[in-house]
Amino acid sequence: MKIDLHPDSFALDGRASFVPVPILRIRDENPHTRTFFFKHRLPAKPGQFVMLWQPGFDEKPMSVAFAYPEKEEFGLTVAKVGPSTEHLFSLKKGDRLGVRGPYGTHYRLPGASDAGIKAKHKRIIMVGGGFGSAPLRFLTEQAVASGFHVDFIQGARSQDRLILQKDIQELGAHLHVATNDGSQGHKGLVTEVLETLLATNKGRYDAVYTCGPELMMQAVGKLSEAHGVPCQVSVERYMKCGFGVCGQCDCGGMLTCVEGPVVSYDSIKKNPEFGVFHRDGAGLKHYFK
Amino acid sequence: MPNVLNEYKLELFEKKMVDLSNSFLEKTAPNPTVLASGFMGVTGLSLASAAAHGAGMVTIKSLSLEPRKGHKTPVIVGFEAGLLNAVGLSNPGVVNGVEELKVAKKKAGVPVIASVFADTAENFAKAAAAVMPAEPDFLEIDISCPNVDSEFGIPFAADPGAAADVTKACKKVIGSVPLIVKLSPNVAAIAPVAKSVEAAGADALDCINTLKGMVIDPVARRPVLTNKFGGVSGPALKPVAIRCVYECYKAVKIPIIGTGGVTTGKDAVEMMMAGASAVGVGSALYYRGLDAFKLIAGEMKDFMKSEGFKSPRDLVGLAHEN
Repeated sequence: MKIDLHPDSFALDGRASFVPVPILRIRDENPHTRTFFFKHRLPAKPGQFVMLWQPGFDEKPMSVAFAYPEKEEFGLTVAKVGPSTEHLFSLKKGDRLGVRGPYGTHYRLPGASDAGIKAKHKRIIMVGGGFGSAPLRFLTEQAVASGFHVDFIQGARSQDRLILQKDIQELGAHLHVATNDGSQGHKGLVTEVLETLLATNKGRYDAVYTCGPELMMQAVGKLSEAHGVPCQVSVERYMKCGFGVCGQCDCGGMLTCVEGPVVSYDSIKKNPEFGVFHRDGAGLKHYFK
Repeated sequence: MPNVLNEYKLELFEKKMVDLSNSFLEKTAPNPTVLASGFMGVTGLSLASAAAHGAGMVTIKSLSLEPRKGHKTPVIVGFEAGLLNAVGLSNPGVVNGVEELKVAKKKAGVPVIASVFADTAENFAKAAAAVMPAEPDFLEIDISCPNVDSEFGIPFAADPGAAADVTKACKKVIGSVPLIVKLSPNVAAIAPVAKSVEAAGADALDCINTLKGMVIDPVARRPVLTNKFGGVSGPALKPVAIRCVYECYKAVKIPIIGTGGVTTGKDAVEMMMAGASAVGVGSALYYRGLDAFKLIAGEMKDFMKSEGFKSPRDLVGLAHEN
């Protein structure tokens, strides 16, 4: 059942209130991860996030992995990591959830008017750690459509934690894999693969895009900078409102939900909290290690 | 023959004379806007960011003796004319909060307002004393949060006697730091509470906290907020806040921070004409982004220029003369 209430009222357009979204289909990615596709014209760009409400349970920020507004479809790739995602995994096709958003800044491809990066070589690199591959898949789709050659470096602890490989390859990106235990691809870190790519193709990349654990993104940013390649990262902080009022997601004076999550490494490297600590729902500090 | 050119020059000169700097209890702020408690101010650097974006004064999110996680999400939702929130007073506790206040004092460059809340007058005083090492410019006591009834009972602001007890207890432990008491609109009459806290030693009032409300999602068939109830803020709250400030201004001599739904410079002027000496800004961040403070201040200045006002203090209480 589709219910449209005051469609002209901006407060009900999903900016701050929930739009009911039925689950269209659910796809298994690996033993811990599923992609949930919903019916809704979500005008999201790669790197943006939504607030997903499971009525009667809770609400969580989720990065958008798929968005096809023209088809009235979007997808969230979700790992089972706690009570909230466990609850989500118990839902079936047709169940209705609430969504609000999209929120935040997004990745910008070289040559985009506001990117500040030139599309000189039409070659870019993605570095996705764990579930960080989800928004980068979305960006890869956009990049390939704009004629970019994409090297996609994907890392995880082990093979059974890798996600969206088929999607990424079908888009035409060149997939490079690193696992900590060597169960697939390079045994070691994504930064080692990145180093090799940047060194062997010196001066031939326009930009590096990364999403994943903060210390990994920091290392990716440093490495890209050392090779003279601009880098964009996606900062994750505890979020409550998503639209810049509650202040819970502050990262060193940056309101992550509206001034982020996607920022240039060049700007975030000066942030006193990036790569150092994040805060929980009470505002208590937790140091990265 | 009148000298048109000279009159024009005089008019230009007078326009330049509009000065938004605002004094509040002997502290000077660059403009009358105040970052309201509970917005942005979880950290010292976030308070500094609000100041850098134009806030005339900044208030930290209220601190309690112990850290609190707050309510389960969703804690905020929008509706046609504002926001409804029940964050549930999440905060890192006074021990950590005092460090954030120190950062704000060092980096904000504008007056910093500490804010505390507690379950008893005695604990209010303990929390108030605990933030004093940060040397805040003001201390605000939040006796009016509408979203924690189940835990704390009816807010102190609902009863003139209870509100006075908390005011007295805090006043004793904060030396010369001026005390601001944040009042609630969720009362039959606000003026008796205002009078009572003034008599108990309050140096200023902050009118008002949010108005208790509810939003139901018709598809989900339940209240949206996990706490079910929440506080209404934004444009829907503005006429209520204007009325409360107007009533309090009539009732007391101490200055008032007018808070509730101010989104534009015209709203801020309205609030000051009702009797506010400074103007709280919160939900405007949703409507206008981080530039809300600059936009509101700029629009105030434009209004004052075109109406011939030279200082924000000239606006205070004007509506009472008519």
